[in-house]
Amino acid sequence: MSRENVELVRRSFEAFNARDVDGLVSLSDPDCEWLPFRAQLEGIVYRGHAGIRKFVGDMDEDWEAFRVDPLELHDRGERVGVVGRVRGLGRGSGVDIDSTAGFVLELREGRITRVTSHSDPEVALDALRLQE
Amino acid sequence: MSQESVEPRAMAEAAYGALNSGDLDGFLALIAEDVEFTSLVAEAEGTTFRGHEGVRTWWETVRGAFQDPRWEVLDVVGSGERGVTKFRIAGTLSGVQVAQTMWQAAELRDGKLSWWAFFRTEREALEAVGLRE
Repeated sequence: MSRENVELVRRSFEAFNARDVDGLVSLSDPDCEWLPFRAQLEGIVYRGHAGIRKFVGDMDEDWEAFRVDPLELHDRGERVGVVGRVRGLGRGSGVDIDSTAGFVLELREGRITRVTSHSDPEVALDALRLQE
Repeated sequence: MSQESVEPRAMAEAAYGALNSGDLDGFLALIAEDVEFTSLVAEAEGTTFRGHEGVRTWWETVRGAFQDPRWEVLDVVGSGERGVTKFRIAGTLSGVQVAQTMWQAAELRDGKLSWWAFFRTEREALEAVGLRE
């Protein structure tokens, strides 16, 4: 299952980058929780399949372009750590971001149950180690 | 310490100390009335917060985001009227421990914060205040 989880996580980033929301939903548990970077700063948690759809909608509302390309995937069984290159172009501001970030994806029975973003990739990897 | 002698490190420690203790009045006392700043909260929209009213709006958002929010100053560079603070904000959200590391570039005038912006990378923050060679 572990290698399958890594592949599932890779597909989830591909689906997000392609704005294939149905694909993203199909990879996620109905009770999933998404804690993306900005939402954390606002105290927002996107919950369930409707939450995923709202998250993608919010991203497209805020960003003219936004994608995350995985650079490293760390297999920890039901947790997968991702170090990714984040690139975005703000819709209103024109702000151009190009940085690396970390993500911890938790999975259960072949579905994503939680995604947590970290501005510092090392923090994501530390979180993985702490949960081992 | 006179107002004019406040250095970026002392300012960072005072400002993040006020954030940690929930002391909004103490925080505002460190900030110029005509302050302008941006936040990663409104990064994509390019929103500029202005004045103490803008500070209050930002404060309510970030202080209310997490359960038990804690800010930790990790490093400060710069002197005089320009500085960059590396910090971490940590807290609990939906039962999950989360932590984000960011950089704040800031300018001081007459011993008070007159401008700041948050960045995802140190390079961007240093460039913003002309501290990157």
